[in-house]
Amino acid sequence: MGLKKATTKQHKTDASDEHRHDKRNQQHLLEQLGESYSENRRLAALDLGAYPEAVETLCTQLANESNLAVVEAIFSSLIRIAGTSVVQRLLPFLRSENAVLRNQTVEALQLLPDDLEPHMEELLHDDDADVRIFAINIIGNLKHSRVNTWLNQVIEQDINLNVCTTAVDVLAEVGTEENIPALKALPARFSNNSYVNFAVDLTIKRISGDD
Amino acid sequence: MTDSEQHYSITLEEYLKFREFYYRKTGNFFDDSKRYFVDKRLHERILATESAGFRDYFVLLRFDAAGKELQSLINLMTVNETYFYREDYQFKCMINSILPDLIRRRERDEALRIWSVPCSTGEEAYSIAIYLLEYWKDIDRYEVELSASDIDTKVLAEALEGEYRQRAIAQMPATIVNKYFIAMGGGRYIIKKELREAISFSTVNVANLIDMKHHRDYDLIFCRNLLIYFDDTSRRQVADGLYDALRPGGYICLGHSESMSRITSLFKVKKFADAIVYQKPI
Repeated sequence: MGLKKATTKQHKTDASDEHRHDKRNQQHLLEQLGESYSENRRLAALDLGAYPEAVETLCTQLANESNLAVVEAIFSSLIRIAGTSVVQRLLPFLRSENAVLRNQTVEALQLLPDDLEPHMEELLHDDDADVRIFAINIIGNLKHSRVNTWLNQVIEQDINLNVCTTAVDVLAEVGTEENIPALKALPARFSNNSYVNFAVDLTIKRISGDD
Repeated sequence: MTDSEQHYSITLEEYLKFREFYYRKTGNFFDDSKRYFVDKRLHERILATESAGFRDYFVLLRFDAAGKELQSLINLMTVNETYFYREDYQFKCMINSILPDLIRRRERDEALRIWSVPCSTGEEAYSIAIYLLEYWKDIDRYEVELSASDIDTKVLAEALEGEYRQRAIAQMPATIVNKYFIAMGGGRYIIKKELREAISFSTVNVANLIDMKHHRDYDLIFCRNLLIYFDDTSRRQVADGLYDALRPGGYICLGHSESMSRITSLFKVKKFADAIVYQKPI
């Protein structure tokens, strides 16, 4: 007993991996995605990241998948595939009652800024205020040049207090001087609500860099 | 204060704003006492990027889609010097908590498998080996396979050679140095052959899923100060690979400024007395 050098440089793969190497074509991977053994579903989901045409099947599986490791693998592959079709299939999950699925969707969309851009106006004008808040959550970590423009639009136009204060919170980190006029005008739209006043003051202070 | 210094001065509000941003991105939190440290490095990057000041630089940092500027800043903010017994609280955690938990759940008479990745020039892998031999009371009852990998073949060659300068071993007690190293003169020390031969070194690109498929069934992975160097998408992919490289119930130790929870919800956070580590669910 004691320290023992690994006998092979590459450790023997387990049965599910052998299976994976033998049958890695798309059709078999799609079949594996429906298997009852969750480890096989996860490995299939990861390998399907090489097939853009698998988006529909991956998203269908996502809606019904209960195993977190498989859910994560599907999201990893969808992020890897990227593109408009991925974003279009992910957006409905923002309305899901499943918080894990919803939050993972927010995180995935944050990694797809260019593909998401054409949909942002629609999201920010959604009838459901929760969806608009999720859109702002996405913006909060989105690397895109229009982030400040979108946030300005929200605090200038949105009629929902929670939506606007979510945007103000995000502006505290990403805001620039271009956001200050809209921020200053916001409290008046909500009868100088004390929380709005507080949040706006703090955010302007942050943006201005005042000690 | 010169005009130039005035121009690049960072206000308290700016410092707080940056601190929040940096914490969210890296998990590394700077308290108020670190302000000089942070300001100094921000100044350096403001100058290097020819930004007009903090605000200009922060916009660059925030909207740099490729994340290159954030990476440059992280490189400045982190101390990447490697040496024996670095962040040894995690080795203590391995001895006091992780290994006892692993062997308690062990049903098969199979070797425990530990992986150091990226291993750089080998200091971490050899430190693990020494900790096991010196401090784990059950080392004679179990077989332990210790592997170490890196993407850089040059550092792997140095790891295999096992020769180090005085500075690399400064944190180790003299008795340990005398036991496991041979003094070569001129401030050079070489790891004894038995220890060099106990570790299996190999190349790996952790961001490559195909490469990672060859790494399976580890019980414990040390992957410290690596994830901070990837962009968000790649980091997620690496986390997937590490997850699949572990046995159910296996553990992973990250660097002190890293957090798996910010990358994926696949792992459970385990708070042990010596360290916080991540576990693949059983």
